Amino acid sequence: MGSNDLDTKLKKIFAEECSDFLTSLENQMRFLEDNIDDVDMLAPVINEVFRIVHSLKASAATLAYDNMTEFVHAFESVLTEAKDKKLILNKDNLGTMYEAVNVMRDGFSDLINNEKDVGPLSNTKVFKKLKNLVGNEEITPPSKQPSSLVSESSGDTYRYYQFIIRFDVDLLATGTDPLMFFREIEEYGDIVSTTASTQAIPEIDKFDYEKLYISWELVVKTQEMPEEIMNIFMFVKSKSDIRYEDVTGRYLNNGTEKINIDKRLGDILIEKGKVSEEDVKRAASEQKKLGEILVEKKKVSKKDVDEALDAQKEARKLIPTTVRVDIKKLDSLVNLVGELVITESRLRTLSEEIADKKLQRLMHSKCEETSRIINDLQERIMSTRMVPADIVFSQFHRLVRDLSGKMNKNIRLVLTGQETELDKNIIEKINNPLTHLVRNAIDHGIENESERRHNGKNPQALIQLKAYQKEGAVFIEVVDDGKGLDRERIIQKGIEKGLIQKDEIMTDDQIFALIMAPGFSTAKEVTDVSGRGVGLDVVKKAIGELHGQINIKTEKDVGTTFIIRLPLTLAIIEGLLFTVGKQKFVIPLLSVDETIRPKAKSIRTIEGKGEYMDVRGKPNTLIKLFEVFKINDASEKPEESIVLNVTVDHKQYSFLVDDIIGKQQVVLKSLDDNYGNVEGFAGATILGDGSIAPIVEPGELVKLYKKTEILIQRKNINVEAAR
Amino acid sequence: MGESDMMAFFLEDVLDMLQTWESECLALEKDSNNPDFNELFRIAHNIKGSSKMVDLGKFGDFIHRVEDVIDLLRKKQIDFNLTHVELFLDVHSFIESWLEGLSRDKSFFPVDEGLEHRISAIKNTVNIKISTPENTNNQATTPDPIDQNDQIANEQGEAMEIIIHKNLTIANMSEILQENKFEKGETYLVVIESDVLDTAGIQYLISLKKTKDIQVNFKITKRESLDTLARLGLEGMVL
Amino acid sequence: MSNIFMVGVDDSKINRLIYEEAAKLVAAECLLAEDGQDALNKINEVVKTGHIPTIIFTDIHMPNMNGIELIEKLKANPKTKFIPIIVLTTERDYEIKIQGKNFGAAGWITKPLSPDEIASVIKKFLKI
Repeated sequence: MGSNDLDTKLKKIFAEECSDFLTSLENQMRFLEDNIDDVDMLAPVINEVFRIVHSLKASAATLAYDNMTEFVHAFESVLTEAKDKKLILNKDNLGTMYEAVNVMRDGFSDLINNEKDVGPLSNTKVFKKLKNLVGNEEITPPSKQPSSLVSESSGDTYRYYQFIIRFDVDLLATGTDPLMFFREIEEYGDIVSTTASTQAIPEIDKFDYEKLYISWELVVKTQEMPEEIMNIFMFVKSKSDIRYEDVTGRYLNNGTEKINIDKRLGDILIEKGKVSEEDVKRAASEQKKLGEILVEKKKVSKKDVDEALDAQKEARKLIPTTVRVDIKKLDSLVNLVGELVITESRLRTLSEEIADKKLQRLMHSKCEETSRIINDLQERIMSTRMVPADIVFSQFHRLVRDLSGKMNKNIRLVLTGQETELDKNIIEKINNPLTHLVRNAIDHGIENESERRHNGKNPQALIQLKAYQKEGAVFIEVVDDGKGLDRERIIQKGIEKGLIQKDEIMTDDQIFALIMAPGFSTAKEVTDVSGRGVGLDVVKKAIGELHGQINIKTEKDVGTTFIIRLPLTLAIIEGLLFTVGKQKFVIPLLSVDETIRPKAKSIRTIEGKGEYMDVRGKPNTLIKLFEVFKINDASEKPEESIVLNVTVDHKQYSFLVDDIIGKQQVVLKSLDDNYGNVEGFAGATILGDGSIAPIVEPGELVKLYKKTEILIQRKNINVEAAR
Repeated sequence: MGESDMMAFFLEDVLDMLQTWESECLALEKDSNNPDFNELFRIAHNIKGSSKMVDLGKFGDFIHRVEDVIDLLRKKQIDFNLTHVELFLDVHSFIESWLEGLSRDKSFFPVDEGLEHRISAIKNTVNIKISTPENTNNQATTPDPIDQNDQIANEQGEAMEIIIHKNLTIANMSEILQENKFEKGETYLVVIESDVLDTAGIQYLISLKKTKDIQVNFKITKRESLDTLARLGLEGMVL
Repeated sequence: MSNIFMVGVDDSKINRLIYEEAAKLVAAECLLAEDGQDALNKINEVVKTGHIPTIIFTDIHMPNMNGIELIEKLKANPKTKFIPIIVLTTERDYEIKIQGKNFGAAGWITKPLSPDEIASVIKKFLKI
């Protein structure tokens, strides 16, 4: 599911392991102390101690806790000497070793609690003592073990950056040539690919030789920091637009560049700069093998061809063959694994009830094992459904081309992170919202060439589609460098449409979010391009259906960015289990901002508006779940309940619930087939004890609440009227 | 394999090929002075073949007609221009919606808003051409691509040779522009013997390439000039 | 790198010496001038003989014609229009940097002058 989840799991296992190891270590040390004179008894024990310390070192290194690793390595070195009988144990050095174990116990405890490395221990007395025990040998810290579990490059220090370079149109007139920058970049690394956009170059009768019409996209492979490379552009940065993205994920990390398996020999040669496209095209139309022809015609040397063929072979080795699978089969696999997850958690619950302690422990450890296997299986199956974003992104070249032609605007589309993978289901449903956002950007966001020139902007506009993974989620951004959103106009329109009050205090985020409210639309004309009354609210809804969020960042005359956050998968949720009365519920953990034990005084009633919860001075609308769901045996006193704070549409709400049971991964099961759309819920799940827990969707719950509120108010009015 | 499985395979296969079709069209547009129709032809041909296996007669016929147009362009029996790109992109959209309909209903046929008409119109112009005797020379077999420059010269009169010795740099641009005038309808072979090329000079060359009313081909003699072109990622645009 | 022809314009004798030192570091031909007018005269002389400078360094505040005016005049002459011009500024002098850019300067270099820094700017601009 994401390296983050993996990370968390690793840390959990590490914590458990450490605890076991350290206890075991202390036992062994005690044994050593008791039998310090009996050399024969000592040997196997010393071996055991060595083995434990060695494992601890390996684990610490894997998680990149370098300072700790350094210290443990020092201890290990001492044990190596002892093992090899180069060091004879006595009271003194054993004392030092005890001290070392204490340092390790404290150190590992800190490490696990803080989830980060301890400070350097090499200047401590104990460390120095350990060093002395080993004599003149330099205790060199072990080389960093590349973490094979985390896919980020840790053994590799090369990274790849994509630079999008649009120079000031008058650059050439200052006597500066872009070539000079490219040469300088080569001092920092290799330029792996160069793409130039010449679409703005006019025909010869309109050609002005002093103007710079070309923009570039470079991918640079380097060990340096990208900021260093940006410094190269120091003289021109103010009037030029130069940006970069980290695209390391697009390239393999074992020294070979990812070569698309479908690349034909000709393409590889062209990329390596050995021939021109023209030559390849001409040669390809002949019947013989491309390589032979090019060599024959002396376009390329035999050596170059052989090297390219080797590269192709390498790529073929690395990329496995593929099989076509019906998506339905994958979906049913996902379901099955989901059932496994549920059954396993039931087994675990049951195992708690085993009376025989020994049997229980055994069962528990087997469950752990099973759990680990299932998690692995789940991740692998999920990854089969993952598909690179490129499938969606690449279509946009055509769209941007067509629309910029229609609207007479000069626009360049740049894609970044198209190798980022998303769940196939999400891919299919993200196309429409993205299309809408891009159309919007082209239609309303981006100014025409003359307006841009007038404002000192590069006449060629830039639209970027970016995809990346972060914090266990997938992000997609639609960026434009157009005129940005007009804050004042939005507020005005909001008031006109009755969406906000005149003097309502709103944050910028809330204001810009208004444009996605239903019926909003500030477009002066509904153009054919962006549509027949289809507003951004449709985009928002679609993203919501994918359990995602969409945010807007904008700056006047600079541009607008839509940031879409999507879960890695729709089928499994990290949930918070809670109760209302006897009924259990689940709410997605990501949607809960915080949980609080409220005091009676923090809840206030405002006449005509309902109840509010005071959260650090701000009022959150209080929603009592037992009221909304009509549950009778729930705890109604706030002091005896728990509050979950959530944010829906940039407004804060507090959900009042009875108790929180804990965190759990749950498989989302749809209620649609049996019950149709159930208000307030996103589905349900089966818990370990066999009971069913509905999964609460905060946005839906708020809607449901508002509905019931209206009903209650109406009832009150009727009651009043009836009197 | 059941019939519906075959159909599913066919649909997915064609959708795959359509992606390449689209990028070929966009590439044609970019590099319109040296159009290569082989890939488009190959795709149309494959789609035509596959459609026969799932018994889609009408679809196959349509693709056959599109294939014919591509073939005409390939054999230079008609002159390529950018409206052909528009046509092929429209064909792309048409096929896409056809496939979508087919996935629901096997006898689906999309509404044609003039596409067939445009295709027939193009095919008809060739018929007219072929019948006039002066044009029989143009009905060539696919010309030997390596000698294309000479071919062009022979078919449309001598290619005028222009040699540039000066460095193609911004400082010299004003003079170079003055000294070299290009006339509409003519063909030129520009031999660049400059020792140094800079971005301004290269832009000039690309602008010439883009100009529709003149036909220009470049020959670069100095290694360093080629290197500069490669560094800037512009070889494909010039050569 | 033998065809580098640099020009150093500064009313301070010390700075002119530094330009000479820098020229030695990159095996460049060096032309010195003590103010804008002097520079213009000398540059026009050499240009007439077909010898075009490849890079010009200039201070801004000088008697008889300041740096900005010099840049303007050089940009107005098609023969000298495309020679990259580097202005001398102090670190904090944003105005000069902006003014310079607006008039067409290609870059800047900060006081105090050092031959190494000048040499590296030359290398940056003239690898062509």
